[in-house]
Formats: sequence, structure tokens, C-alpha cells
Amino acid sequence: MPGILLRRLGSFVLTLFFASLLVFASMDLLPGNAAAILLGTAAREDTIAALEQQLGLDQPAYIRYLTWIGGAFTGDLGKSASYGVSVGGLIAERLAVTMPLAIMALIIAVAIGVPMGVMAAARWRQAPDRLASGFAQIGIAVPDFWFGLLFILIFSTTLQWFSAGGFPGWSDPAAGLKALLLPALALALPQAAILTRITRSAVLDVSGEDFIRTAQAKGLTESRILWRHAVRNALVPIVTIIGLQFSFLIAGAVLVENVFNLPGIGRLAYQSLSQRDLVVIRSVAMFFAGLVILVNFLIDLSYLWLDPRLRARR
Amino acid sequence: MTAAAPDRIRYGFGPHFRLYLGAAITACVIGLALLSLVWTPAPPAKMRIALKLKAPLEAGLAGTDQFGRDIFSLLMAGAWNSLSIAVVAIVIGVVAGVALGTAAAARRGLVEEIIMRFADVIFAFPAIVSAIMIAALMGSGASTAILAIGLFNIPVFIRVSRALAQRVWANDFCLAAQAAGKGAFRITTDHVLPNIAGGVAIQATVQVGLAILVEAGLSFLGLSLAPPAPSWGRMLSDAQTFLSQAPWMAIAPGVAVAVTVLGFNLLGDGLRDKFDPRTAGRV
Repeated sequence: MPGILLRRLGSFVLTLFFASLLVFASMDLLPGNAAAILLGTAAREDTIAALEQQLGLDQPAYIRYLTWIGGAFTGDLGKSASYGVSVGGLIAERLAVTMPLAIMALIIAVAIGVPMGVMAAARWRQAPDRLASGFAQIGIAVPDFWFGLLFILIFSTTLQWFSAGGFPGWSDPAAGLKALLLPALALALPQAAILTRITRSAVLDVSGEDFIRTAQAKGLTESRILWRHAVRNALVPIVTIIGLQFSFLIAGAVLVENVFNLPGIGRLAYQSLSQRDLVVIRSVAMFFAGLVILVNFLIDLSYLWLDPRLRARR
Repeated sequence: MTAAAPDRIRYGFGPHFRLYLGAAITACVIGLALLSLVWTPAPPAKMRIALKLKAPLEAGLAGTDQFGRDIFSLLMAGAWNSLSIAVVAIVIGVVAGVALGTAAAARRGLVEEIIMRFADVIFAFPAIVSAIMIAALMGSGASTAILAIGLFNIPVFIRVSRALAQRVWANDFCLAAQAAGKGAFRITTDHVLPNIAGGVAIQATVQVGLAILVEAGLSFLGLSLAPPAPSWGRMLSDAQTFLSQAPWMAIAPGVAVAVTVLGFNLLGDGLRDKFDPRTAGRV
């Protein structure tokens, strides 16, 4: 058991390391460095040189890399050229919007997707299955940010139940949650569709297994067999998909935050692109990549807990 | 549980409903996209201020935008742009991914370990994040979108082709080929590739749909094709400004994206049903 844990931890750290090298190499080493990009084509050479010195770009590459990575642990990721504040602080501030948004979306997606998938499997090829499968098929095809536009059209412009975007801050938690509800729902619907589909096929897959027949022979009720036996055993593929979908959740968050004008990390990434602020972009890109790697690592670990057979093997 | 092995399989809409519906939708979209190269109801780039913000059927099939451009014509031209970006990106993903995935299955050991680790690293960058990084370095445009979507698809096809290739390698005929003195490269080209082509093609169909979805997002943010080239994503971002005056501007391009992606997904699922009947109706 500790052996597996150590190996997974090792590959987690290694993947993080290579991802950080990739970000650093593309953002810091390719021609056209941060100072030149920031100042534009009309800048004079001595202006560029001065900004290079200010950004620490005159130091050798390995020192710059180590400063950046070291900073990730102390929270000092450098100073944003366009915002004039520390990048670490900027990310932390924006995280207060993006994290609750992503968590809300994930909760909504699981709350819709898993029960619908189970219901579809239990009523295979009957009306509930057709409805759920139809919802899944369509939900997967619809862009999340378009759901966002439609929600604004319906609930803000027409019904005027919600404001069309913006974020009032967390001083009034209820108002904050309300502002995140539509974006979270837009983000969640495609994810719920995918979860419905995966849950349905995972439950169908285990429904032919011997232990289900045993449970039926024992005379257990259908709902007990479904939830205690079939769903429990279908959890591995379901959790796998949540992990694989995580990068789409991030991509969706970038878009939905822009649709709803939410001051989250996705909007920060987009804004720093228009400011050509490479110092911010590299840290935000690394943050997103690190998050995807972390989630997949945690999901890898969760298999050991979900499926005791994996603990015994290897 | 009623789900377990029914005695008689009943299909609601016939056995290959998804395949036919998907093929029909995809053919329509591709047909309209090709048609847009030679004919559209109105010139898509032509501004007609007198006709601006007209509702559907008042002017044109899907109405007009803030410059009086015909939305249906823009959708048709946008279909061509969106499809070509998606297809080129997927071709990049398939070529690089299958090369690396089959190499991993053929060589095992350290080579496989390195390739799979590489796949993990690339997979950690959602297409939109790499698109922002690429756009910061070389500006936005069709090539930025193609590169970002293509990159993200490389690990997808590494994993798919490796898994499929491993199954082929387990067959006796591969053992026989080895015994006959064929090298790993020859076995891959002669036996593995023909046997995994179908599975890769099915995955590619689904990924084209996904790529269209991602491209719409990228062009919504202005990271893909530059104006004035028509694009579904940018039509949606223009529409946001006119949401209350001209809601059709927001509805038409979204429907176009959703129907196209639905078509490719149904086609992919239908092909899988047809060639792998064990999973029919289950996935």
C-alpha cells in the first residue's frame, strides 16, 4: 500500500515539474520576451532593457525558473506589470470567485447527472431511459457559454430575476451565491449530460454481474440493489470521467466568467492576454495545469479507496 | 433489475437510428459549408445598414445582425471556417497521437513510460489555456486555434491508439509475425495500424464534434479566426451586446454549433454501435 502511494506521488510531482518546464520554456525562453511583448513594437531598446531588468529578465534562465517555482511555494510569483500588484495576491483574490463557481457547478452536475443515469439504466430502453439519453445527447453538444447567454436572455433580460452579470463580492454571502447561480448552472449542464451518459453505461455494465444476480436471489429490493450494489460498483468509471472532464470545466469557467463578467481566474487569464501581461499568464496557466494534474492525482488515489481489489493487487 | 439482459431487444427507432440521423445531420452541415464557398443567400460580408437588426423572416431566413448582414449566410460561411479548423486540428492530433500511441504499445518499457508521461503533461493544459499562451506569443488567429486544439488532442489519441494497439499485439498473428522475423515497426504498419484504424476513426469523429465546440469558445473570446471572416463563436460574442434588442442573433449561432456537434456525436456513436454491437445501446 505505501508503495503504490509513493509511486503515484512520484509521478504526480514529475508531471507537475514537466508541466512547469513547459510553461516556463514557452513563456520565458521563446524569442520575444515579456518586456518586448508588453511594450509593443514601437518601444525603444533601452526602455525594453530597463523593463527587462525590473522584471528580472536579465538573469540566467535557470535562476528565473527557480525564482518562479520557489515563489509558487511562498506566494511570491512576481509583480503584474499591468495591474501593479503581486500575481500571487491577484490569483488568490480571483480564486474566491472561481473556486465556489466550480464547486457549485460540480455539485449541480453530480446532483442531476448521477440520479438521471441510474434511472435511465434501471429503466433501460423505456421512456425514462429515452428521455435521459436524449437529454445527455443534446446536453453534450451545447456549448456551456451559450447556455449562459440563453440564461441571461431568459432570467435577466426577460424575467428580470437575476442581474445579467457582475459579482457583488462575498460581504453578503446570499447575494454572492445568487450571482454565481446562473453561471454555475450553465457550466454544470453539459457536465451533467456527460455524467448521465457515463453513469448509465457504467450501471448497465455491472448489472449483468453475478453479484447483482445474487442480490436479486436474496430478495433485496430493486432500489437497494441499484444504489448499494450497482452504483457502488459503477463509481470508478464515474469518478474517472469527473477527473477527465475537469479540464473542460476549467475551459468552461474561463468562458462563462467572461459571459457573466465575473472577476474570476478565467477572466484574469483573458484580461492579462489583452494587456499582454506574460508574468500573469504564465502563473495562471501553471495554476490551471497544476489543478488538472492535482485532480487527476486525487482521483487516482480515490480508486484505492473505491475499489478494495486495487489495494490488494500490485 | 429490468436492465439485466432482456429476452428480446427492442429498438425504439430501428437499430441504426443514431448512425443514420448523425450521418444526415453531418452531411447537411458539410453540404451547407461547401455550398457557402460558391453561393449564399446574400453575400455574408455585405453590410446593409438599412436592414440592420431585422428579425428572422423579416429579412433573410435567420434575420440580420447589427450591420444588416444576413445571419443565415454568415452561419453557412461560419460552418466552413469552423469545420476546417476542427478537421485540421484533429488531423494533427491523430497523426501525432497515433504515431506515439502505437510506438508506446510496440516498444513498452521506458519508451512507453516517457510517451505516457508526455501525454499526461500535455493533457494538463485545457485547449483554452494553451490558446491563451499561444496567443500571447504569436497573436490570435486560425493557426492559434488549430495549434491549441490539435495539441490537446494528441494525448487523447495517444491513449486511444495505445489501448487499441495493445489489444492487437495480444493476438497470435502478431506473435507469428514476430516469429517470422518482422520487426516492431513492420508489425505496426502491417498489422496494428489496419486493425486500429476503425477505432481511431470513430474516436476522431467524436473529437471533431468536440473540436467544433472548443473552437466556438475560442472564437467567442477572439482567440480564433480574425474578423471579418465569419465565425460562430464571434457571432455569439457580438450577439451578447444586442441580447435584448435582437435575441435571434444569439440563438441562431448557438443552434448551429449544437446541431453540428450533435451530428458528429451521433455519427460517432452510431459507428461504434455498428462495428461493436456488444456495446450497442449501452454507451
